[in-house]
Amino acid sequence: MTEKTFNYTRSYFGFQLGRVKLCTIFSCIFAILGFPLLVTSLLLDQYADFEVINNDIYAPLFALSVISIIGICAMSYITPLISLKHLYTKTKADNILSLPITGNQRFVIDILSSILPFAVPFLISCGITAIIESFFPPFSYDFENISMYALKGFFCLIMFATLNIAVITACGRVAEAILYPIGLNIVLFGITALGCYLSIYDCVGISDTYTEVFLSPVVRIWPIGNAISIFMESAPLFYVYAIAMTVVFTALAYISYKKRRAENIGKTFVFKFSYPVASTIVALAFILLYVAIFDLINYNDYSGISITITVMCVILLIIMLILEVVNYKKINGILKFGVKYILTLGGGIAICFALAITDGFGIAHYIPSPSVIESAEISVNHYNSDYGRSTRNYITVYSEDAIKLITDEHKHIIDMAVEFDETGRHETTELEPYTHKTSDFYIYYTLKSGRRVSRTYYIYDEVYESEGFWENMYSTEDYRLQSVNALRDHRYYNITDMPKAFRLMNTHSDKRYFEAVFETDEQYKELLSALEADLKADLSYGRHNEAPVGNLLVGYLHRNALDYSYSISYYGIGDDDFAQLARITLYESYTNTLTVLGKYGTVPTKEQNLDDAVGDDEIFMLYRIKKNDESLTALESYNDYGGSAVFVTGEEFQELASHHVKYSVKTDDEYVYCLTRGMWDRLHYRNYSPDDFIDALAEIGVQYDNRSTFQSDYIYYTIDNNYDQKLHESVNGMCNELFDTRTVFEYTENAYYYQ
Amino acid sequence: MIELKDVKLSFDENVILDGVTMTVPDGRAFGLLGSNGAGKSTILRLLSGIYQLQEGSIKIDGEDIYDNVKIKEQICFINDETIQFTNYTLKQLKNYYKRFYRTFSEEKFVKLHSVLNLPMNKKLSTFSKGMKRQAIVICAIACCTKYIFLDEAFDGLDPTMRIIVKNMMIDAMIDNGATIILSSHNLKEVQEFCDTAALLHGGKIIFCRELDSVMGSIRKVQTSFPTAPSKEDFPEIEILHIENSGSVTNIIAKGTEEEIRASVEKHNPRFVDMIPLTLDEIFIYEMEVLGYDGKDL
Repeated sequence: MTEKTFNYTRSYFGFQLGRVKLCTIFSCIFAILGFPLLVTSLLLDQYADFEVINNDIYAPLFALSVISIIGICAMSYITPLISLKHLYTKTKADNILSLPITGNQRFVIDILSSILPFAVPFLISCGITAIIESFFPPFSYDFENISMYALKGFFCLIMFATLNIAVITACGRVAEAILYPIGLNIVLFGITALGCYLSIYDCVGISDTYTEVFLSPVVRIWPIGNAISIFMESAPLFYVYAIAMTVVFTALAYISYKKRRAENIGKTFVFKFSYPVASTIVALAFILLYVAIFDLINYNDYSGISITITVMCVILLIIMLILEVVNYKKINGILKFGVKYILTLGGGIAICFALAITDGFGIAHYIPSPSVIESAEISVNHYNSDYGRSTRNYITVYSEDAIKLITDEHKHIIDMAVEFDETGRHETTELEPYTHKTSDFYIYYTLKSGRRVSRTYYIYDEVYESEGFWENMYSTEDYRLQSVNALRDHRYYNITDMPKAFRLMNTHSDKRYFEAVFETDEQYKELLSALEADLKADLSYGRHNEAPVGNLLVGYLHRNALDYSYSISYYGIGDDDFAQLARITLYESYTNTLTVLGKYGTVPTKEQNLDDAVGDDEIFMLYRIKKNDESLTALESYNDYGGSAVFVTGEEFQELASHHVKYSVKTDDEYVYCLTRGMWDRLHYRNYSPDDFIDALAEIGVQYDNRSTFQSDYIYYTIDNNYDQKLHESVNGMCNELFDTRTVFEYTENAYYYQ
Repeated sequence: MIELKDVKLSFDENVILDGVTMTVPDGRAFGLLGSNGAGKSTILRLLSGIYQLQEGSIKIDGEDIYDNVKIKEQICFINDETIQFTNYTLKQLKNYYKRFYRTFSEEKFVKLHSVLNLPMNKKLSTFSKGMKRQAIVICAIACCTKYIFLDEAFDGLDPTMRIIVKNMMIDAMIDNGATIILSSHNLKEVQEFCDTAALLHGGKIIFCRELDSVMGSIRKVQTSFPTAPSKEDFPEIEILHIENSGSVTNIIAKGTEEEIRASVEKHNPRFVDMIPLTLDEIFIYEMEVLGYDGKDL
């Protein structure tokens, strides 16, 4: 080799790449089998003929792709470990550090050789995934973003790897270099999650999306968990954050790299401060874990505090002794250890109490000002709005008045929860821990800055008073029209290679439902315009005195649906290829919509065909009860096949009741247990228990006392996690009454079978 | 030329080097001697730019070493371990050194290899300890650097191999003008190979001189006096060790032959025999003076 061509940097780079050769090979394999295979398997799922490509092929391919994605994530941890061996192995350090190369050059090459072997194949795989997607456009929302998810995964892995590098540069031995990067991620996860648990849950309920909103400085340095939580986000903020954190971790790694001294290789940590920092983090994580598990600070009940502190003291002592022995092979000075122990304990206790008492430093009470909010969404489980599903309606509002309503309601919810928390929560939960039912309020803001704030509050039903909130929301044009706007979403609107289908679900004729199919975008737009006009004019939320003519299920058809699911709304059609986007109740006043539907083949009428709705072998599920001035005027029911019926006359109510309320269990709460098709289903009605229902029938002159004998070979009912002994006894008693020849009583984890 | 001036180095609270000052002229074979933990390997690591200097100065050819590519490319350091290369074959090991040293001579490597005839394609993990050492040493010599630092160079080598390796290093000094610093506990090898040596103890230099001068400055005297003398009877010379065994007295003393003889003859000895000391003996007696003698055992 001549002097002209000799380059020490290049030589070292080549050497380092050689060291991680195996990692590179594995990364290439994992990258190719990862996202490209994932998207391929989903394409097969969507495009191929179900008869040819079935789950026997799809499932293994999907599983292999997932394993490969996990594999390349593992590579982002293993590659830096191998590439940086000379930082924690003395003999290797002698060889590498004596080479004619500067520290800065070595650092750059070490970083590159720690990241490139997995990053380049991963990035290429993102490109391949995007190419596959561009040639074979996906059908569904989730699917079309896989290459973007892959790209986010790429940034997450780089961020994760740079944190690991920063940690490895502070370690002096193999064991620590292997364990501490994992440990730090787990510990940061623990602190974050448990901190959230302590603060938010302890106050007004748990936020299920806490990772993206809470304790931001701590959360944001938690790459694994944060990557998971923000993985699904689409804002450019993700990239800014990921790149910023990567830069921060790289800078930390550089400082550590430059400051570390080769003579400290072989020690647990190469910096003096590393040990107390590590021991404090680990100890705090365990303390938080303890507090969370034993829940002794919950409910503002400090009676168990002395036990809590005692246990914390013991746990901390054990952990710190272990760390001390691992680090120094002995207790390194009793006095020194004692001081360290007391400081750590004090810090731990202070953090726990600060979180609990201040409700997460006020974050649990935080409501953005309406002036900084771009859009807002509110959904409530157990409290029907006129649109959407029970947990999230995904209706986003943008207008000032609608946003203001949501922020006011947000404040109202917090006030109610705090008041309850302070006055009666502890007492009631202690008495009847599982009988209180809650509504979960999901509130989601997108701020003008791009930041997102989401909260979920679980509020006991007996505490919540809506005070006309939903009526007020419905009165805003913004809210009413959002269901139409959702249908205008380009994700569905641009699906041009398949017809859009609209089903009017009713049972007004022999057919259970009608179907209108819109072949062109113009036809589709025509319907949306009609719907928009009708919704604008309809300000009668909750005050309809008329039975609806049906429910419009809006969706689209696609071929060969194997396992279609949709995040906005999925209605278990089951036996065909119809996927639902929205469900809109139609009334006779919706003349524009009904006209368009009629034009394309569906002519809804209000004529009832109860025989069809309540067939011999099918019992409908009661979906909604409508009231007018406290009198029952209309009931709607739906079955699993998309059929629905509206019951308006006394006879119809009686007919319905004979199917729905013939066996029921009276409970103290508002749940109704109906026997439907051999299954005990727990249905929730805020206003009607079975007895209430019968009473309500009586009020309108319908006498119902005909609980007929149920004929079935078996019945089945489930119990939920909050096992209710009283309920079980009630149902069990009824089963004994119903089934004279009960031969088998079998209990599995969460279900009872009678035969 | 290598110059260390008042070099101090501490690891945590432990002083490893305490004011080390020494000079190694170019083209010399320099031996670093010392008790275990005296700081020999530390000096070699400082000279190789692995450790960063804390206090004092270390210069090679007038320049600092740490992070100095220009100087480091002239240095090849072989530490006392071979474990880091156990997964390499000799061919891979050669390529490793060739990759990092522009002066690496394939021709020299072939020549040295032909003498030892080590298997090229077998992993070093299959080699004996001595063979591993030979493999690494021939690679280091083939690097043809101006400075070669060897920690425990002869560790694991059989007597024949020691001679062969020594000859290889002498050739390197003759052919390339290489300066070789080696640390060793095998004082015989150092005595045979090095022209200059430094003795370290507790991080301090006990002496740093040409070996001939060292050998000539300490002598063993076998003599007999009418009455057994003590150290204090010889104030003119520095007595390292004195031992009376019957009528015979053995004295280890520092000084020229003339000075020692004159001092001894003042006490009318029956006879005086001047016996040259080996480096081993010098090491032991010097260490004894410093309390490193295991007498407590």
